[in-house]
Formats: sequence, structure tokens, C-alpha cells
Amino acid sequence: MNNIILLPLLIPLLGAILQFCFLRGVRVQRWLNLATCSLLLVSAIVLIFLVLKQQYIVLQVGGWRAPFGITLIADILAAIMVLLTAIVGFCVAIYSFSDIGLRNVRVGFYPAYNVLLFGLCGAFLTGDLFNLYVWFEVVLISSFILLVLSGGKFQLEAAVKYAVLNLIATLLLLSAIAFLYGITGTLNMADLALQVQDSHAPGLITVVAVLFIVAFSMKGAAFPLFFWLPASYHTTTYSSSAIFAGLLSKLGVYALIRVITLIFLVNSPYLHFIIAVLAGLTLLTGIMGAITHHQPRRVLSYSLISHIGFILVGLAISTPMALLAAIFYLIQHVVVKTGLFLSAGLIHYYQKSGFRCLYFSKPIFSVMFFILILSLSGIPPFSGFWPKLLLIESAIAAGQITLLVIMILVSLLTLYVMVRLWIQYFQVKQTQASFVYQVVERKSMLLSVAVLVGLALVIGLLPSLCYHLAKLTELQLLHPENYVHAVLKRTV
Amino acid sequence: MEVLLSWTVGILFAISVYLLLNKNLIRVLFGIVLISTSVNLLIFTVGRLTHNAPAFIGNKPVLFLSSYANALPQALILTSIVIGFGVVSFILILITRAWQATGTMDSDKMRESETMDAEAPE
Repeated sequence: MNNIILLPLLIPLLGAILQFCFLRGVRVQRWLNLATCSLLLVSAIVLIFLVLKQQYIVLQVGGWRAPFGITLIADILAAIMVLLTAIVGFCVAIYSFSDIGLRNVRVGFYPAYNVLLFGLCGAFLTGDLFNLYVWFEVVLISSFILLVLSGGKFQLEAAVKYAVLNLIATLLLLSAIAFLYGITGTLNMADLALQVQDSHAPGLITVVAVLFIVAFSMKGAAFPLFFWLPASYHTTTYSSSAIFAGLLSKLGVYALIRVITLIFLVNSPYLHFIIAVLAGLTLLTGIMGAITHHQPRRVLSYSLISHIGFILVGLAISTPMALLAAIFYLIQHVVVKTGLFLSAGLIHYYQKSGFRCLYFSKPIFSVMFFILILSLSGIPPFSGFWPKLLLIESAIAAGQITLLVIMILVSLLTLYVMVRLWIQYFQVKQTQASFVYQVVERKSMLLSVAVLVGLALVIGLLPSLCYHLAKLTELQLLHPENYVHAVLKRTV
Repeated sequence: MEVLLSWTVGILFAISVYLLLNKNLIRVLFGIVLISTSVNLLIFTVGRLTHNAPAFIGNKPVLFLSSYANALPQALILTSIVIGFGVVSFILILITRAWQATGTMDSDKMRESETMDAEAPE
């Protein structure tokens, strides 16, 4: 039964291999990809139900006992992230039918896309620190390929920045792992949690923890080291940028949550203070960048950075409610942000087809986009409101007034930035194109945006669903001893 | 030996940071090669050095248990060498193609994608 944890890894891998065999068959590849993503979605749903029943699903790969071999473990947080990967993967798979041109399919968009999903699922499910580094590299290399696939001047230029900065981040991560291994002599996360507690050198552990924070915040595009993100996300295809925005930057945040709540529990007020400073500055610089730009994807990239700050605030305050809010925020943000990046693609295609003032020419799409921007800014009935409310409440309870003010300011500025996009593309009566010269029906794109908007609406209108899920996750995160017990089979 | 290796790692890191801060992309590439090498050396050093000890213990484990070489750091280094080689060759090609497309190796001049309205071709 525990082998089910392997399904989210094997399905995309097999999908990628199969699609490599049909590199010339464009239609075959598209449908194979859709089938792979649907299977992945099914397996992710099964996985999360099983995890909710059993709390932890642990698989020791190759039958090696825990601290010696590689452990795969799904707790609720990991299962949620795999489910989000599957949902976003599925929506982008539908979207790619009309977004990815023949040429890109023939040079291998779909295999790279599947390897990316494979790497993401692996990174979420692994219980071994060095293995996590390997998964980061899998994700990184496949994202390089997706980024430069079109081979244009801008893509290459952006990819240079993306590749170099991300590579330095993974090398920092590797040296942090090396130091931790040198101190404790183990790489298994559960075993590390034990060894770090018993360590005789808490000062050294704190230094290593800060190195981890630097590496993961660079990956997750937090304050001082986020410049690779807005330099690259707006150049690639809309499908790739949506999956990058939805999942790739969350991978760093996920890893940060994992190591901070599981391993580095000694001297944690100091670490939480560092994360709080990073979070505040990320919130502010991100939204300032968004204000200064006008192109949709550039604006969205910068607002993505500032919203990473919200999740970090939850981790920094680190009370039960704040962690809950952070996880709730993570869930809704993946859905909404992917939706927005996919809509940016639709806006672009509509503009190219000569539609101006989309509110009148494309009313259904306009309503969907409007729901997404309200969800992102956190207007009451929509999904962004609930986690923000929880975050603000926990900031008040923890007495973090500076963070509180910054969060409210950034929420307002997000609304301003998003409404500006809305006015720019949906309401202004630009010089009307005299005729619509290239009517392209992009039904599949509209469909995938609609799925994500539906999900965002469900999260917003039935907040108790996500609240309970986040509550269960938070309970698990605050009791790392259960995680350790599940992996090592001995009590702490 | 440990002290010597630690100093080597430190100096290599310093050199690679210097190279990474350079404007010329080829030097940045050399910086990446050097930094990944020094991280490998770092793993080797923090994994503890053992002299004249077998990595695998034979039929009489009790005899050797006091000193045996840890094989794990070598396995980790092997993995990271392979990954590093793949990534470095990718970046070499990437930089070459970027040079062909933009006509410059100066990272300060590679700003067109940020200033102009760069839209992805389909």
C-alpha cells in the first residue's frame, strides 16, 4: 500500500519517456501529455486521501532501513503540494493545446514539461536532504529547457540570468547540506531532526541554518536575491511561465518550511527574526517593482515576489495560527497565480487578434479575470481574503506591528496594481482596431483558466475546506516528533 | 591534511566568487566550474578524512571496526560531479548561443529583454 507514494513519480517519468518516442507526432504528444497529467491528478487525489487517513505514508526505497537509505515520505503538506502540482500540471496541459506551437512540440516541450512535474513531485515527497538537492537539479535542468525552447534572443538572454543565479543557489544549498552532514553525520531528515537537537554545537547549527535560509530564499525569490525571477518569467511561453510561477517559486518556500519546522528547532527565535526581516522586505520590494512595470507578466512576476513575502510572514511568526495561514495562503496562491499567468497569455492573444477593450468584446473572460484579481488582492468573499485575515490576526496576537502595517499596505497596493492592469486591458477604449483580422478561438486556454477560477471560487466561498486541511497540516508541522517516529520507527 | 584542504576550499571559493562577479560571461562560467569543484572538495573534507582504511569490511568486522573509510561522501561527490558536468555543459552552450544572438559577452549589456516589450514567440 505504501508503494502508492511512487505513483506521482513514475507516471510523469513514464509519460516523458513515451513522449520522447513520439517526438515527431505533435497530436500524439499532446494527448499523451493530457493522459499523463490526468493520471497524475488521480494518483495525487488518492495519495492525499490515504495520507489524511494514515497521517504519514513512508517508503524506504530498496528496503534499506531509515537512516541509511533514501526515504520517501508523504505527510499532509507534501500531499497537498503534490495535489497542487497535479492540478496546475493538468490545467497547463489543457492550456498548452493552443499555446504551444508545432515547433516547440517538435523540439521537446512535453518531455521537458513532464520531467519538470516529475522533479517537483520528487522534491515534495523526499525525506532525504541530499535527495532533495538532486530533485532541485532535476527541476532546474528541465526548467532551463522550457525556458530556452523557443530559442529567441530574449529567451536566451533571460535564461543566462536564470541559469547562473539558480545554479549558485543550488551550490549554496549543496554546501549547506555538506556542512550539516559534517556536523551530524546523517542526511535523513528525520534522523537530522534528532541529531541536531542533541548537537553539541548549536552555534554552528545556526550558521548552517542561515545558509539554508539563504539558499532556499534565493530559490523561492525572497528579498535580496530574487532578481532572476522578473528577468526571466516574462520571456518564455505562457504555459511554462504559468507553471514556473505557480510551482517553482513555491518549491523554495516549501523546502524552507520543511527544514525550519522539522530540523532547525534550536535557537529558532533568531532564525524567525531573520525570516521576518526577509519577509517584510520581500513584500515591499516586490510590490514596488510591480508598480513600476506595465507589461502584464512583468507586473505579475513582481507581485508574485511580494506574495512570497506573505507566506514567509506566516513562517516567521510561527504561531500555530500563523503557520496555518501560511499554508492556506500557499494553497490559494498557487491556484490564483497560475490562473493569472494563464490569463496574461489570453490577453496577449486577444490583443494580437485585434480585440481591444476586452470587457465589451470578451465579457466571460473579463469576469474570470476580475475574480482572479479580487482573489489575489484579498477582497472579502474571495480566496485571498481568508488567509490574509488569519495572517493579520496572528500578527496582532504576536505583536508584530511592523509586519502588520506592511501586509495591509501591500494588500492595498496589490489591489491598485491589479486594477491598473484591468483598466489598461479591459476598460480603456483604445483606438478600436477597424476589423478583427485574425479570429483565433482559444477554447482550451479559456477552459483551463475557467477551471482555476472555479477552484479559486471554491476556496473562497468554502473557506472551511482549506482551513481544515491547513489546520491538519499545521498540527503535523508542529509535532515533528511524529514525523521522526514515522520514519525511524522509534519514539523520541 | 584537513587544515590544508580547508584552506584550499576557502581560497577556491574566494576565487570563484571573484570570477562570478565579473561582467564577462565566460569568466562567470569558469566561476561556476570552480565553485562546484570547491563544493565537492568541501563535501570530501567535512566527510572526515581517513588514512589507510578500507571502505568495505570483510569477514572479520570486529578487527576493522575501529577504523574504516566512510564511502558516503565519495558517493555524494560522484553524484554532484555528474550533475555539475551536465549543468556546466548546458550553460556553456547557452552562453555561446546567447553570444551569437545578442553579439555580446558583457552581462551589463544583456538588458534588452528587460527594457523592451519581450513577448514569447508561439
